[in-house]
Amino acid sequence: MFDFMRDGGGRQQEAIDAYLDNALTPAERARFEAQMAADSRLRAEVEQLRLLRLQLRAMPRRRVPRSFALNPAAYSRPKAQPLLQLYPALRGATALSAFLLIFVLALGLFRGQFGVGAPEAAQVASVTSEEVAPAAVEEAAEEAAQLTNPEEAADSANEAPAAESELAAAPTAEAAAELAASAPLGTITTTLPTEELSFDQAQVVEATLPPNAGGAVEPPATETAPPAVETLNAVAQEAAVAEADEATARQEAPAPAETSRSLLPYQIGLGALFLLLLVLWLVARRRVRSL
Amino acid sequence: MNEESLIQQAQKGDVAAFNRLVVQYQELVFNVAYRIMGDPAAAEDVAQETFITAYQSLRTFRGGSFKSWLIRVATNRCYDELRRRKRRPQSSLDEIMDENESFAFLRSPQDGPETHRQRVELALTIERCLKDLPDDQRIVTVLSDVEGYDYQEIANITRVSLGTVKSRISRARAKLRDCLQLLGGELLPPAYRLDTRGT
Repeated sequence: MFDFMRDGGGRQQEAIDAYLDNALTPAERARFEAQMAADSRLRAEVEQLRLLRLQLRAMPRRRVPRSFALNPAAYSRPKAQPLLQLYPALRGATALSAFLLIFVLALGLFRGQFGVGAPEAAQVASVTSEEVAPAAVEEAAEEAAQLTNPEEAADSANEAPAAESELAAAPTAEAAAELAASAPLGTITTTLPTEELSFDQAQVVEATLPPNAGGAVEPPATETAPPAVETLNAVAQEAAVAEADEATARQEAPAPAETSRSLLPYQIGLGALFLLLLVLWLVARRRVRSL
Repeated sequence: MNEESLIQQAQKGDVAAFNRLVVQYQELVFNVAYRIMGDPAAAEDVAQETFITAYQSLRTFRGGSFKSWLIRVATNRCYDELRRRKRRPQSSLDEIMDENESFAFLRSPQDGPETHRQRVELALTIERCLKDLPDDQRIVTVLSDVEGYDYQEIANITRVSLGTVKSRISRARAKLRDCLQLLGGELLPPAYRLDTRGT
């Protein structure tokens, strides 16, 4: 609908053109004619444009200089252009893949991928071990400092893996470094996964420890020390408890790394699919528009 | 054989059927191209390219007005050629030669020399004013005022909105009117010489 009296410029000009091209509704036409009857300048302008249209329409048509018929020998069958025929399908598929990609990315973001939710999840997962580890490390360090004889050294050597096993629940490299720094005894082989060993295995490991591994420390007298056996029992129990705690923590806390690993193939696949479809769609669109 | 049958035959690879469509529409396509390009040689090239493209893309034609579809192909070929010319402008001497030769077709056996001169001059003036319009405005003017398409058809052909078509036509006519008043002088009808500018 034309509001041709709203301004005196372009809007009125469009109304004149619409009047001349019969593009006004009957009501608009009647209103415009009433306006024209009252305005001689508007009338003159309409007349000018009417003449202009007549002159343009009256321009003689040129004769065709030659035939534009195609040579049957040069043009056989019209080319099949699957890209053009698939254009509507490509458009829909591109939109769908874009939606799915956004959905999967958002899902990853929600689950803590890309580092947004990861710290919280990691914190939940390691909270048990973090509570235990510092105390165990301090304890081991104190005992190591108080060592004065080989027997105590041997005891300490037996207890140290227990501390280590408690620490093993903490998945951070920092905790391992702290443990190594706080245990000066060479007999404490920090790489031994003692919490996974049974009591007998622990004995074997203990028995095979190098005699002078601790430098100033004498060979451990494990065979003649009943308290050491009790200690080993306690250590094994503590290790089992630590392992159970760790398993519980693993079950309770969602693992961000696993989530990331599980979503990543979908994200990469959808991203690649979206890019491929986008390129195909743009090429098809360009060809359709050039027709 | 009607147009629809010819199109179906042509879609199956019948060049003879397509050539019957060419004969039917070649004058229209050539004249649209000529008014838009303002140069008969360029219009000839555009018309030929239009029919080649139309034949090769005929499978994408999904019905509707074949004439409008063909004019859309021609209009797009004109856009392409105009863009190419802007990148590589032609010699103005060639254009002047073409321009003088191109109005020989206006001669009529009934016209005296003076009438013929006036007709040629008026046609030249209109051509010049059309050429001075921006490409977008010239195309809608040719389709609307020369070929007689309505606003909706022009919007479909040029793939712009109805409002854009209206505003382009409006601006183009205002510019043409001003240009003709400036260049046409005594060639124009008396009503056309009324100066209504500055209102």
